[in-house]
Amino acid sequence: MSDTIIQVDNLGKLYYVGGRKPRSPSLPVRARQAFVASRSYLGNIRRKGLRTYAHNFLGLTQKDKGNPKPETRLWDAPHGTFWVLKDISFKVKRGEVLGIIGRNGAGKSTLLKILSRITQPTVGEAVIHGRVGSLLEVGTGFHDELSGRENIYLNGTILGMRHKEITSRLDEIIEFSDVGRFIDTPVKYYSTGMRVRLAFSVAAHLDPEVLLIDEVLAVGDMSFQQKCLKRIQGITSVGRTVLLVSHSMGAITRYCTQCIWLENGVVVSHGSPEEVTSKYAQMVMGIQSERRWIEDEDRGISEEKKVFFNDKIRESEENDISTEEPANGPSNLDSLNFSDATLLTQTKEAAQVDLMRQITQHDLSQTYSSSNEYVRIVSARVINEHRMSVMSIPINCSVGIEIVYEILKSDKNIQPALQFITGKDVLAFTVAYTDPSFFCERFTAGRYVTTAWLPPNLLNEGVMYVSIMMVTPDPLERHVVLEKAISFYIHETDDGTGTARGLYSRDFPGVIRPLLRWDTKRF
Amino acid sequence: MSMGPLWIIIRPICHMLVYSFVFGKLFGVRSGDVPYPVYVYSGIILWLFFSASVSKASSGLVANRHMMNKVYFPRMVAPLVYIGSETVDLCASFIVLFIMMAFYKVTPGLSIFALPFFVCLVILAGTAFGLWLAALSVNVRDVSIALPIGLMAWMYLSPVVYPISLIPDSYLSMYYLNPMAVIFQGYRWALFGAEHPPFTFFLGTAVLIGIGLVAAIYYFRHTERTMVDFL
Repeated sequence: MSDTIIQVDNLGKLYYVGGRKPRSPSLPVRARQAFVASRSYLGNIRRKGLRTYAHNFLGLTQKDKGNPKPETRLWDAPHGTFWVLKDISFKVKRGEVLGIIGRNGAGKSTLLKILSRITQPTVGEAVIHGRVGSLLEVGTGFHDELSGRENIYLNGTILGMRHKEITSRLDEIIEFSDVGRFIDTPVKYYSTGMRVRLAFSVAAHLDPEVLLIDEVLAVGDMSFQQKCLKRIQGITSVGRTVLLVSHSMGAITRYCTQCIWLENGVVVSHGSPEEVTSKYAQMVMGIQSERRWIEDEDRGISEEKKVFFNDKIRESEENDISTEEPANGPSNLDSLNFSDATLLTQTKEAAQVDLMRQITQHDLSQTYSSSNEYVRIVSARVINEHRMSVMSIPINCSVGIEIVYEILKSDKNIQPALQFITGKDVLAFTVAYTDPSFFCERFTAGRYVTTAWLPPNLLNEGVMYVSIMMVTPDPLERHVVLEKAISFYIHETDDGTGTARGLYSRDFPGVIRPLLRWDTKRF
Repeated sequence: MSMGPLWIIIRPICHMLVYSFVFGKLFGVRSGDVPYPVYVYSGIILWLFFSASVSKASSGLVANRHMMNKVYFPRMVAPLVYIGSETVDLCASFIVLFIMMAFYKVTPGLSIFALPFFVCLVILAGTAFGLWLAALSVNVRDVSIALPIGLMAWMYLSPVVYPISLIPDSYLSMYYLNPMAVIFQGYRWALFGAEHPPFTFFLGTAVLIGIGLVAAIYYFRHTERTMVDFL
C-alpha cells in the first residue's frame, strides 16, 4: 500500500445561495434521468459484483467516492449557486500534519466536512485510507443529559471506537480531559471549556489513522492547548496523520509539515508552513515595508509650520525673537527646506488666525508617537542593495532599513535604534547606532537619512517586523518608539544555493540562519 | 421524580382504558369471543409501535442534525435507532399482553406461531415508511406536520380499535387494499384465531413491504450523500 493517506483530486463543492435546491426539473426530464441512472446502476452491479454492491448500498464500505470526475469541467457556477470549494487537489502522506489556513468563509470547514464524509463533493473525489476521527466542533455528539463518563462512551462509539477500547482507555481520557471529579456530572452543567476538553480527549485517544481538527483548540486554556499540541505531535510521531485548521500561525508553523491556504474555495498557496503562513500573513496582516508618518507636500508644510511656530512661541516667551533667530534659525530652516522668505512671512501672518488649530495640532503631536519635541520620524522603508523599496527579499541578500527623521533641537544626542521581531513575535535582536561618521558627534537639528544594513544570511525565513526608536543613549531616554513600524518578508532563494540551507528541504527552526564557515578534515 | 421505563407499559394501558371506555362501554363495540380490553390492547400496542417508529424515524435526521453536521456515521442510523428503541418497547408491551390474555383466559391456538411473521411485517413496514419519510423530510419539512394527521386517519382505516366485522362486506375488498388492515387482521388471527383474509393477501402484503423497503433504502441512500447540506 502506498504512503498516501489522503488523496484529493479536483474536488469541488457547489452550494446553493438560498441553502436549498432550486425547483427540480420537470417530470419527463426526471423520468429520463431516472432511466439513465437505473441503467448505470444495473451496470454497476454487474461490474462490481453483488456483494460489494450490497456493502455500498448499506454504507458499510470505508472508501467513499464522490461523483466520477468529469473529463472537462468549467468551474463556473450556474445561477443561484456558488463554488465553496473549487478544484482542490492535494495529497497527504502518512505521519504528515497538514495545516489549513484561510479567512472565514474560505471553505476550510467544508473541506474537512467532505474529508470526514459528512457531506459529499459535487465533483471530484477525496479518498482517505483508514479510520478518520474528526473534531469539527465543540462537544461533537454529546448528549446533555448523560454524564461525562457516559458521553465518553457515546462519543467514542460515534467516532468509531469499540466499547472495549474505550474502557481500556477510559482513565487516560478522563485524566487528559482535566474534568476530574465532574466526570459523573451531566455534561449540560459543563462549561464550554470542559466540553471541548472532554471532546478533544476522546478524539485524541481514538487512535485514528487520520485526525481532522477544526479550530477547536482555541477554546481550551494555554496549558490545555499545549497538551493538545503535544498530543498531536505524539499522534504524528507514531505515523498518524493530522489535518489541522487553525488561525494560529504559530501552531501551524510549529506542528505542520505542509500547509494549504484557502481563499474563496481555491488553494492560493500550498507548501511549507513557513512559506504559506508568511504569504498569508503578508496579505492578511498586511506587510508594510514602507511607511510615512509626515506628508511632505501639503500637510508636511503645516506640520513644519507648526514646528517653526512652536519655536516661535518659545522664543517669543523668551522675548528674544529678532536677535536670536539669525543665530539659530537659518541653519534650521535650510535643513528643513524651508528657507523661502515669503513662506516665512506668510507663516507669521497666518499665525494668529491659525492659533487655535496650531494648538490643537500641537496637542495631537504630544500623543503622536512618531515625534516629540526633540525628534520626529518622517518615513521608513525596507530597501535592497540598489536602494529600491522591497517587500520581500532573498535570504542571501543585504537588507537596508532606511529611516528619514528630523532632529528638532540640537541640545541632545539623539540616535536611531532598531529592534527586529520575527513573525512569531520573538525579539530577534536590538541594534544601537554605530555609524562611525556620526557616532561620537551630536546630531544638529535637521533632516537626516540613516540606513542600517543587515548582512546577507542573517535572519531566518519568514516575516520580520522592525521597531524604530529614537533614543538618547546615555542617560537612556526614549524619544520616539514605533513598535513594528515596518515589516518585510525574507524568503529562500529560488534554487536554495548560497544560503545555509545545505541539502535540507524542510524548514529551519530558529530566528537566525547564518551561513557559517565549515571546516572538515579527514584523518 | 420520574417513572422512567414504567411509561413503556403505562402508555398503552392508558390508551387501552380510554378506548375500552369509549368504544367498549359507550359504543358497545363487541369483539367476538375476545374481551374488548384484550382486543383493543393487542391492537393498540402494535399500532403505537408503528406510528411512533414512523414519526420518530421520519424526524430522526432533523432532530440529530447537530450531530450529523459534525461527525460521520452511516446516516441510516439516525432514523433506525428509533425503530430499534420502539421495538424494545413493543416487546415489553407484549409481556403485558400475554399477562392480560392469561387473566382473561384467552388461549391462543396454533396460529400463534404466525405472530412473529406479522410483527416483523409491521416492523419492516415502519422501517420502510420511516426511512422514506426521513429522507423526504430533508427537503419537505411539512412531513412532520402532516404525518400525525395521516397516521390518525390510517389507524381508523385499519382494524386497530374495532373488529373487522364492523366493516360491511361490500367494502371489504377495498378495505383490504390497506396493507395495515391485512397485517392487523392476520395478527388478530395469530393471537385469537379470528377470521382472516386469504393467505395470498399476506404474501402480497409481504412482497409489497419488501419492495417498499428496498425503494426506501435506495431513496435514502440517494438523498444521503448531500442531505447534510440541506438539513
